[in-house]
Amino acid sequence: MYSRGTELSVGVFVFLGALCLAFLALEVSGLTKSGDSGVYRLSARFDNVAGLTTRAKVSAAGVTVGRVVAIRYDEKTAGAIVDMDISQDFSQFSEDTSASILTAGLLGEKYIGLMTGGEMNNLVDGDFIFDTQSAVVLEELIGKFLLNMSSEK
Amino acid sequence: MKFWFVVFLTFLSSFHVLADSDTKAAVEPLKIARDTFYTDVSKYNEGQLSEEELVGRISEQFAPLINDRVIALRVMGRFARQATDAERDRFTERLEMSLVDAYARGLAAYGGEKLVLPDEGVILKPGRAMISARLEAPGREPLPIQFAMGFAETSGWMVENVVISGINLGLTLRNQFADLVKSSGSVSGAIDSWTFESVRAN
Repeated sequence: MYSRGTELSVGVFVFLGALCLAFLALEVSGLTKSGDSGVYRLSARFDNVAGLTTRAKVSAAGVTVGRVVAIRYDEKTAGAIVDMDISQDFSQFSEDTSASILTAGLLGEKYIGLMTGGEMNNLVDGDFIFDTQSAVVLEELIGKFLLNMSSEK
Repeated sequence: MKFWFVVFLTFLSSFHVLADSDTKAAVEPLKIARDTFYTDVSKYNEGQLSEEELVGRISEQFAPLINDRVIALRVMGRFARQATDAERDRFTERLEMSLVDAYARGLAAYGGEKLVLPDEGVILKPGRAMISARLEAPGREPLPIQFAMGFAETSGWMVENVVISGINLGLTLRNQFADLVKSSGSVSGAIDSWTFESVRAN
């Protein structure tokens, strides 16, 4: 009943399906190499990075320009320091560039959005971004809303 | 002679390093402005100052505290590089007027809130400090305020940005400027449309 040809085609189909799944997983998790000429390191300090993970995208005007490579707690400022590797192809970020933690879609992944400022000097490897906008924490928002409601009554 | 000259230069440079890394010095201008404001408000309450005089005194007190050039470039964002020197100067002037006016009028409507400042700021790197303060009002949850301070050789520590309860005012104004560029069609048009109302809306 079973022909060798059918078995082979099913095998090839399953193999291709597995390949597609692997490709999708690599693309979604950002583990693929972009083939850039090189990267430079920038860091930014946030009050709260809720939900941001390493390998999250760093984008400017919707274009992916880098990746988050490390997140650590800073005892001095009681905040979080985020290290980002930015592609050398995007080296025109001014010294007063701002970094915001944004959400892709309503309940999507967190990523960092860079917005260049007006200073004439550009950020270079090892520089720090001071102008930041932290992540929105839903619990804090609900807390504030409830508190405002109770104080208005 | 040369030796003493080198020693003198080293002393001067070490003093400079101390000035832009002094955690207490970074908070000092804010404390002075706050205390002067409290004094002016009590004079106003006692009838020694009119509302216009109070607004005027607050403007005088706050104008030297704000680094309007740095803030203007931040607010203009990517458009600052497209703008001419004259346009940047014009916007700096307009922004300073609108900011001081907005905050002076906001503070003149003071309702007994207390700005609690720390004894020391956090030096993020020489010349840059962060000061975490809070605004306390009776019957309300304290409002966290962060002042981003920058050190300028000539004028000392000045405010470059303010984050109130997680909302970055500099970024909010930058988005507002970008919207004005879109609606007016040019950087020059956005500068002309920038008014006291633009800041007050925030």
